[in-house]
Amino acid sequence: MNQHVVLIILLSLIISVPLVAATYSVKTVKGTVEVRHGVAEVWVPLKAGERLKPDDTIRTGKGSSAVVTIDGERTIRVPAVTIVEIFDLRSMDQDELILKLTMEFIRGIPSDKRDGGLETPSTTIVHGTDHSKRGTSVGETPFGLMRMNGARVLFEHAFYGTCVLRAKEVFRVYPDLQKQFSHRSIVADALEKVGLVREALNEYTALSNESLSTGEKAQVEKSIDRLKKVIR
Amino acid sequence: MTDRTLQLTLLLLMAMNSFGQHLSSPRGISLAAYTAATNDIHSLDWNPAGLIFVKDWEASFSNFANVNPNFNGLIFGTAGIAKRFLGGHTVAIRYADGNAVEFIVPTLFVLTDSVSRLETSFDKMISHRERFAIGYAYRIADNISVGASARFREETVSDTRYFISQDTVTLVSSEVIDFDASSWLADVGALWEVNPRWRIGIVAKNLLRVTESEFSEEIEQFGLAQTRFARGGVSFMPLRSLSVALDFDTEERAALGYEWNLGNNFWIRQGVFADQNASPFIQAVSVGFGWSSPLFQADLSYLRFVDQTNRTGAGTLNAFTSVRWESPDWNPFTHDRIAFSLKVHLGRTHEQLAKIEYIEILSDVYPSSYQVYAYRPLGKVHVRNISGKPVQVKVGFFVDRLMERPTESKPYIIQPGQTIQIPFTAVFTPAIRSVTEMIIREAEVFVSAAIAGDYDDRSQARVLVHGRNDWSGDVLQLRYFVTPEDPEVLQFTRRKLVQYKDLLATVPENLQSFMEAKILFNEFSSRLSYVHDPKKSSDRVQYPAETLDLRGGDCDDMTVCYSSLLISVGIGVAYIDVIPPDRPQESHVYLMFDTGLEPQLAPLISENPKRYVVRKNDQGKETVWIPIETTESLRGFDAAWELGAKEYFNETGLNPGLIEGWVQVVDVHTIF
Repeated sequence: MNQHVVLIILLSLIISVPLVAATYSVKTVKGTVEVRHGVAEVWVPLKAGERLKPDDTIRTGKGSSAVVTIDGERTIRVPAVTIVEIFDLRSMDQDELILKLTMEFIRGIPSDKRDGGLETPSTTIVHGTDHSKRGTSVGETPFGLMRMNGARVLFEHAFYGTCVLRAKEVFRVYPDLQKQFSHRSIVADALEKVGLVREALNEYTALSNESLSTGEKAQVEKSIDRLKKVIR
Repeated sequence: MTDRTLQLTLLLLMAMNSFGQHLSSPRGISLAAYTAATNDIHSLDWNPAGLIFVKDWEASFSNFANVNPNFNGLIFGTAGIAKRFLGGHTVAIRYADGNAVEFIVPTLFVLTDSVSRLETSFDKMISHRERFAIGYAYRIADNISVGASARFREETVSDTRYFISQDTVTLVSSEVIDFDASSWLADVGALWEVNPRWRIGIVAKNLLRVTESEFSEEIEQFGLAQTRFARGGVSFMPLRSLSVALDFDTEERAALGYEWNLGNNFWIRQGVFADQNASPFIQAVSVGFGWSSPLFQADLSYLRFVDQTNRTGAGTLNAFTSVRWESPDWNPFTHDRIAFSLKVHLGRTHEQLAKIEYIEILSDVYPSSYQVYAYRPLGKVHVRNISGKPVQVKVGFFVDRLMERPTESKPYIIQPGQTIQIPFTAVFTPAIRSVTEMIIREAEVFVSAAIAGDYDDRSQARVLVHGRNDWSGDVLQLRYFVTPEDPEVLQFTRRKLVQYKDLLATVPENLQSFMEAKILFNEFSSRLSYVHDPKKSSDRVQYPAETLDLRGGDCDDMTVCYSSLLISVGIGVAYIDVIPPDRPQESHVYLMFDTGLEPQLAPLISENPKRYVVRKNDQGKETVWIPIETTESLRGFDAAWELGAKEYFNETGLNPGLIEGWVQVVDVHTIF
């Protein structure tokens, strides 16, 4: 783990995260398109010509779509049933992506150092009611899928770095989605696109362990062979 | 006057008997070269800077016997005492009854005339004594010491004078006349301990002279010469058990010797003395033995001159008058001798093996986190091995009234001459929390070496002890203000959750923690009457009980108090420490708590992923955490959550705070 911490420090020294203050504008809106500002919970209708901020989120309903321009030059088409974070509409170089993936990796390492610090009590103080059999589940929600569709938009518009990070975040909250070949392969392809061949190979290898159709399996194996040759 | 021819003939026959010389130290005699190696009260003669090696009180006695055909038994030599004080000062005083040389010159007085011959004999007595000596040494640096000594020299000549008066008869009368001379002679010396193996010494002999009385011109020839000269010496330890020494002076005299430790504190020594201007060139050889214990040191020496002429107790007048010798220390009439001395070390008898070079205090002391100093070094001591052998060293640390007893480090092995850093910790008592204002306390740092229980060195360092509410600004330290088991905290959380028991019963199990946190926050905020602007936050933190009692505080106080409330009901907490690189003055702390929700259940509390953070909890399980800006306490839970989430997204999403390290998320339970 220490090696990774050192890696983060070194990388953070040699790269600077580009936070170019791009201008985002809504060019066209078709159907139901909404925006959510920052950390707000509510969605409000989005109209053509509106300016968007980096912390905004847009979503499109069924049969709806929107076109967003970046600095008036680059056009991003958001298809139906999609959630896109405006902040993700940016290019991320390989170094920054490695850094973020490494941080994700470190974050995933369980902390096993307990050396006398405060410990959280294992029980609460509410007595008299048995809560153990109650619970709430999210059930079928389109949000996960809509956000995954957003990751796909990022891939299609060559925002491979943010695509990988967004997809992985979606997988963490909606783990069922990562079992689907079409979603998982986006991550692997995006990794390969940014030159992280080994990471892409690992992603395909993990995907090969999922229950895939014959065609999907063949595609995965083909990709694995191709990446192995590249690595050699 | 008669016609008788008066003829006066003076015949001198010398029967010399010389007594104790300045060869006062048997160790010095047997080692021959003692200018750099001297280390006891006899440094008064050899090199006064050597007095600095007296450990505490030292008493010394010596006797000797001349080895000649007229052996006249054991002669009292010296008795002296030396004391080291304030670490780097030593004074010494010595009485040396035997430090004297006396000559008896038999004289035949013959009076003749034409008819008779009258012979009368008498003795001319010549003596030189240096019975009193005092000295002082001072350590001016860790490895350099200087010293000065003064010896009181007394010289006496007792002569018989005859007077002839001639009237009708010729009368001869006699009268004994004493001539006295006395003076103080001062030596100045220095010693440089280059390293544990090498030592260099230099002394200026007879540098100063203060005369009280002098011989008259007619007997001036019998006085000792008082030549100023300088002597240098070096000692070297090629092996741990062997040292060799060399002396040389401006009068072209030299000495060479060695000292070998045979084990069990038993020593054997040999030396040789040489003089370029004398014949033979090798003047004398010596051998000696020594034995030491922590309390005693006994030394025995035998000095043998190569040329025995004039050294047997009688000599010729020609020999006596042809050489103008300068001191009783070394002269043509000194006998072969056996000398014995006993030194007694009184007071502190432990030999210093290690020395504190300096002390480095690594941090101030914050009472809030006083326990941490039991594990985290409070400072370091740079300790040097000043002995010639490896030593095992421990460091102790103590602050009076704030600690019950000194802490002791683990043992460290230090090689000769090596300096190492030894960290020390401090176990403060809970009483330190009663320190309300910043104070400075004298702390004592001890170093002990080997198995000796005494301290090899002792020094003091100032430790800044902050008030109980002071905070270093380090978020890692903030957790020590968190007191979830404080009765007031427990009382508050129990009372409130019982109050909302019915509401909580309706909340799904997986949202219990979230709801409890919300209830506690809102109850906590409803109790507050003020919240300071975080920009005005000082480095002072209130304990939760104080915040609850005072009904207000700043962001640190709010964070500490609310996290205490959460932890007391089993909700995990992490601090978010933000120090904007371009605006460090706007640094602040807020928190996030663990809802216990699995990530896929996050939409149960919010559909906006910017409002929560997925991270591992203390069980290593990924759960949903909610950022809370506690300075928004007065506006309630939802506002605090919204602002906390906004800040977190701004600092870690829109800006690379986590990547660049100016945002830290620190679990309260794993802050160590």
